[in-house]
Amino acid sequence: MTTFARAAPLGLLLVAALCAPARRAAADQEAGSPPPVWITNAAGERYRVRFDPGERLILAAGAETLAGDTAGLTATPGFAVEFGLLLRDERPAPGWDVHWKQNHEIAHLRLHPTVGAGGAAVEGALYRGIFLRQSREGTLTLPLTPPVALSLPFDVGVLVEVGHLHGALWPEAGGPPVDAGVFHGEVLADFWRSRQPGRWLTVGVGGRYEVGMQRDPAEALHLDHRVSPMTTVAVALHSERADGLAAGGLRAEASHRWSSVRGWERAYRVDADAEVTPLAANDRPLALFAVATADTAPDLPRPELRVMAGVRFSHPLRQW
Amino acid sequence: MTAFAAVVIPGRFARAQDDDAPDLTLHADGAAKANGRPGPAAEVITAPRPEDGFGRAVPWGFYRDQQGRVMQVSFDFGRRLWLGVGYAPHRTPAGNTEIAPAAFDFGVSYDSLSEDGRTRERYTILDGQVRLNSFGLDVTGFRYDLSHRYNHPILRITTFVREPERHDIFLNVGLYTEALHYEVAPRGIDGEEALTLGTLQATLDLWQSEDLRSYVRLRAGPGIEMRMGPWGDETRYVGMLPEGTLEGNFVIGARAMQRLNFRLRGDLLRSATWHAEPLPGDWTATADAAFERILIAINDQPVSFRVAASAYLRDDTRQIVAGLPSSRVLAWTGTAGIRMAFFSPPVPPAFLK
Repeated sequence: MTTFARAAPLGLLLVAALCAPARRAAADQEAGSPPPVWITNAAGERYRVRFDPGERLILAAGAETLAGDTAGLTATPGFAVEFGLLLRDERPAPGWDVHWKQNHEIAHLRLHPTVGAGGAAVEGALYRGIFLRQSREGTLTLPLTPPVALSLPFDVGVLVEVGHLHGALWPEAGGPPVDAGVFHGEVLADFWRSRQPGRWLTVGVGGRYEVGMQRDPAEALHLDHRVSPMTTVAVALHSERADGLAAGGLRAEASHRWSSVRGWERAYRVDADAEVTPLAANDRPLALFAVATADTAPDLPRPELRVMAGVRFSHPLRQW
Repeated sequence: MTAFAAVVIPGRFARAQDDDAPDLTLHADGAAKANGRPGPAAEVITAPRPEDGFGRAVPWGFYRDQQGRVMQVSFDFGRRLWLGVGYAPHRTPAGNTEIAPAAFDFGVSYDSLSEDGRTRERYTILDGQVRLNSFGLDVTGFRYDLSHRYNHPILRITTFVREPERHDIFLNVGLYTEALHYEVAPRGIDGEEALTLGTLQATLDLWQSEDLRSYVRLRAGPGIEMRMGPWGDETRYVGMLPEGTLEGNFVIGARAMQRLNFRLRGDLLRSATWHAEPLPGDWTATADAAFERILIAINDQPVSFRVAASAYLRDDTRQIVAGLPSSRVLAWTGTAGIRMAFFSPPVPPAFLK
């Protein structure tokens, strides 16, 4: 937990920096019209000034450091790449009653070619979807006759993740473990209830099933089945500017899970990400980004802190 | 069966929608809303509707209460994504009773009824349960089945005793297929895993509800399964020739908020290797039943209580490892827990027809 204690101020700083403009933007945009997508300068040249961070193809490269604590981050970083397809739904038409805010990540993976005994490691998910149901008012319905509704101060949603991968690409003899998340589902309560895409403050309760695979030097494969039967609690904050030029998020997760090797145990994880787009090339954004993950669990020999920073190229899929 | 259908599908769907008309009793203005009392209905109905749509009629399956709040009061069991957790006591094939385990279950289902109302297709993806303490996994990657109500009888019998009479015999035949059903230790053998590559079966509906949501049916057909286990690197292929099942699904209750399932299944097993080796034990029998009832809805997402029980008897546990004869095994699992479902639309009004 020392790692997290040291990382906490950094995370809070990141959140504060992202939330301040985000909240202002939310207030502005939820009351008014969205900013323009294209503008024309005095010379009559047209160029794009608004992007959708949730609807794009991404390809990124940067440096990544893996350390046991923040002091270890001074070690020489390795090269890493990131790619993925991000999709989200259209904004609802005016006069909507109920709307599902959908955010999909498909094959959003980071590869770390210099990490691991096999020379490669991976982090990410084959599919992750966040679905937030927005309604004008939340209710808890008791299906009596007639039905009875109690007001709730939040929207609900669900997070679904299939095929989460962490560790080496393949379990090699004597090599590092491979963690394969088969399924992760989380029931979400969104207290922000923002009408803008990409903004949420959720508290989630979820379940997860993952398999840890490791080969010993004798080539025997050892499996560790880990199940969290709706005993994972997570808090997530995500925001982005209305023009899509800055985005960021923070997610903290505590899991009371069962391992087929060690029995009941606790695991913690914190993820943070931030992205700022200072320029666009041919109307395609070129962003600076940083992602950080802190992990501690009994299956890890020590707490892990991974930080990656680099440049992210995006191909926007939404043209408006 | 008609009488049974009449019992399980009463004529009322939701009180607010008995006459198919939404309850438009709304507050006339903010003041009435603030004091919690409904405004005069006539005044509200004649007043211009607010631009935000608050005054619009509620769609089918929804209800508007006296405070003007709209809530979903009908949920389709056939279309949803669910997450659940439950208490799952278990008797292992080895004869040990485990009273502490919990289970986490999940899945996605999608039903669709054709425009003519004669064909219902059901898709299920990643339907599974993970048990812990001790570990167990039973998940089906993909399942598809189809029920059809035929327009024309397969056989017409005319009797000529007294006046000629025609007697139609319908055979409502459908299709069932399953792929990538994965199970850990199905026979209680540590390290064994079974992967059903696929099954392809014909179904015969013995009874169907009018909307094909409820049914009792027989199905039978072949399947093939891979078994990997502690006997070495060899993967054993086993064919189910055939797998036969009697199963039922009933959506019940005045608002279709309860569901009852049962399944009785028997498999005759054959070696699916090129050399057709005989199997020391060649049958399995399974029985399952489950009841689910929607208790509340949080922001129109239903939370249900579910109880289930399953038991199996397997004769295919003999001589799994050469020189180690074993006997027939019996095991059971009980489950009681809750499920929260998402993306579940109201049951369409055709349910009442």
